[in-house]
Amino acid sequence: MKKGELKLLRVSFEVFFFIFIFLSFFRLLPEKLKVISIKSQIIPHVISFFFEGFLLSLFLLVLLLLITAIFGRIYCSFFCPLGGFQDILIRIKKRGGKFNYREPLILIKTTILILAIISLVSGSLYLIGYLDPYSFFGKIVNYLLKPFIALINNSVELTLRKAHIYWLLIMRFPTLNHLTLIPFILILAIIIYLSLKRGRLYCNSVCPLGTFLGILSIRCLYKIEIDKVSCTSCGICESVCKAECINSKDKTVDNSSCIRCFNCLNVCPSSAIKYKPSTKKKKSSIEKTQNISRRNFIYSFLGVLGFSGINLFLRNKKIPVVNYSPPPTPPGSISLDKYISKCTACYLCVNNCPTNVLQPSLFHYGVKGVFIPHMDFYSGYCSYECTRCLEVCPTDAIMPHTKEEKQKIQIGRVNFIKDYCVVYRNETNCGACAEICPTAAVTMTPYKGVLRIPTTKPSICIGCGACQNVCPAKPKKAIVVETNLVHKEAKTPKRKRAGRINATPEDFPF
Amino acid sequence: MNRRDFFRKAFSLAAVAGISSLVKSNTLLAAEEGSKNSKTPDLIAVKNGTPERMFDEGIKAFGGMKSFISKGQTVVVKPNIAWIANPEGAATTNPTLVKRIVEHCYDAGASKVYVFDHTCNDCFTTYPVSGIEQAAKEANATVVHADKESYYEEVRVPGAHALKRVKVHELIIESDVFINVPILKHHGSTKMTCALKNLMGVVWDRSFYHRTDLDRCIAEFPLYRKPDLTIVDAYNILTDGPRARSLEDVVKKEIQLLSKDMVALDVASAKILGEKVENIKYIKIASDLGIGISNLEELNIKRITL
Repeated sequence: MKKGELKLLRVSFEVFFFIFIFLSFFRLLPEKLKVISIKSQIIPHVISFFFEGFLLSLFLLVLLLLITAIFGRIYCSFFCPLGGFQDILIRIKKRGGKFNYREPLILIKTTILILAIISLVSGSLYLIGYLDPYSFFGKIVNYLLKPFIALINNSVELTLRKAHIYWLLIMRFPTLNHLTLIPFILILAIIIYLSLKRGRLYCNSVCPLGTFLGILSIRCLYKIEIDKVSCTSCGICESVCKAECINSKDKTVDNSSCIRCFNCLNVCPSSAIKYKPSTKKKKSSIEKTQNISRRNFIYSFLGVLGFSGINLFLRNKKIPVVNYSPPPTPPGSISLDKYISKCTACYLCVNNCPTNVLQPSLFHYGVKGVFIPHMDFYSGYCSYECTRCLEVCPTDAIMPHTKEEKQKIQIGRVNFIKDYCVVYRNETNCGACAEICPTAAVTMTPYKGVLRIPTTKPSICIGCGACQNVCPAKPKKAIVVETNLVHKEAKTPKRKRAGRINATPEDFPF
Repeated sequence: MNRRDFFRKAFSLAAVAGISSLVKSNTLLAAEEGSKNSKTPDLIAVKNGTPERMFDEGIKAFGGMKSFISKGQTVVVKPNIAWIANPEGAATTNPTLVKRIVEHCYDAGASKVYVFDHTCNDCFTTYPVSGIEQAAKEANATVVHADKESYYEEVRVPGAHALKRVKVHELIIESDVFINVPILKHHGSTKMTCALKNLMGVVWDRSFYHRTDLDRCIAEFPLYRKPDLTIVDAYNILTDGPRARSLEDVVKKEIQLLSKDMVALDVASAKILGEKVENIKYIKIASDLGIGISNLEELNIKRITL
């Protein structure tokens, strides 16, 4: 492969995955395509395998890590959507670039990696949710890009609609919670500042996945190397290196920091910089970083072991997650505990939910489950025919189930409070809850005169929350769903026979 | 053997007697209609045909779509697309009927035909699953969504007690001709959903209806605007509705009713459904408000059997 083609290959992959992962947060793409593009992400596979032991996740994880061990940090420039986001910013700032070689920030890197691993095993993915590049990209789409697009779309839509052109649809603004925005804006500011000032420094100082892949690629097979004989130390390659890992004076490349963007290959006037299987014996400077990395890696490993021990100890004590009734978790999440320990709050499900029942939470699931999506029956209800969140969830926090299986999962049970009901209070007809109930767990039964009042059958209820969502009673809903902390199976409703009236009568009945 | 024969004979006799008495009453009614002798009928009832064919014949009896639409007018067609259901589920209006109505509108010179419904389930699913989106688009209609508040504008309802102000879809406010195409169904709380109740799908805040007084709000909405034509789809009717839960609840009736009078249509529809008119509160309220005539004997009804 020629040197120019490598960069072209990288740019094509980067653009493809960036666009497809970005579009996965909209309803335009078919679910299959969304799943395929997000299968390129590493952390979701780690979680899926770590907690559920899914072999497909293991296979893809091994494959992605193997690619790293052979070719270096391909992931960072080919698949990572946050990398793509930063590259867009870098391109806006300075085309061609003016970067200088800097020593890697090993202490910061390793500390954050250790913190991330603690977060992974502690049963709350709060930190991972902000440090995993894919999950953070999801937050960028949810909090920044989508509202921006919605604003433009809706104003164009309004203009067109006034001219009776119905090409566009109104987009819903995501719910913005001030509290969830604080850590988001903080990290986003760091990313934007660093990418504008120092290229991909975020990937080489904060991102724990970048650090981990960096350790893996220290001994990778294919390396960027400078031919010491033909190199003139002109520094052009150093100035275009977004990762700031080329030292043109010493004619060395820090391959653990290199994100494989291949920008340097095209610019060298004497073709001295090459991407090829490593042949040379390790030089002292590389060895130095390597030793430090190895030592740090061992420390990290010991740290993780220690913290997992503490974590296991804490887990066995069974600290109650919450001491009040939390909202139900999405069907397929099995139980509240499992859901909290696997969700990284990438908000992919929130953005794909057709009824907007999935909303970012605040402290609905306690401190451990802060900011992960919850079922908000005030903004929507879970559609009986829909399985989108189960299909798209990249970490299997919402496990895949077929539609028939999902329609049997009882995430909560209906509870009718007669005192608040419109029929009881005003003595007028209503029936909003019964007409929307998909399983006939709520039906209307004779009450006074021609009036009919809701009657519930909680055993066949699936807890979809449709009744709670549509109940018009104010200020308190007369029908609510009570959460099953561990999901159950709903009983099959018995069908009553039809045929009360004759088919196709001989004549008009009037 | 003797006993069986006896029964057979008895039944056939009874059947003959029944049919002859029906025929008799029918001819009598026809004679009465003739005596009223108004030019166009108030209500047209068509039987035994596909929804498209029944509409063709029914609208012909009204003098064609031209008697409702002048050249260059905009038309809004409001079918029932509320629930996620196939056309066979009989919870949503037959797509073939919607398509034929749109075609007739364009033939009569309509400049633009819109189709929409404020659905109960997610409209991104109900529109395609019901087959109506596809069918309407084939006939060149513009399918519009109604799932966001910004499509709606608040209007005053003159003379209303409960529904004084209501947010109505802008197409109902703007369009020249408004055609209401309900499907006849049983309804868990109001007993029946048909012409009047179908108009709940043009307002934003249905929960206001439910909270305030469902029957009265349904009856009062037409004080704001009555559809210029209502076509009741009673080809297949759902006897345990409004949501399609099982095909066992679907009964084939092969009837279609056309009229400008929604109250008369609802009374006739209640009879098709086998529901007592007194039990459907909104019909009485609407009749008292003068929305339409509930006594079918005052009307010139034309019955067409294909």
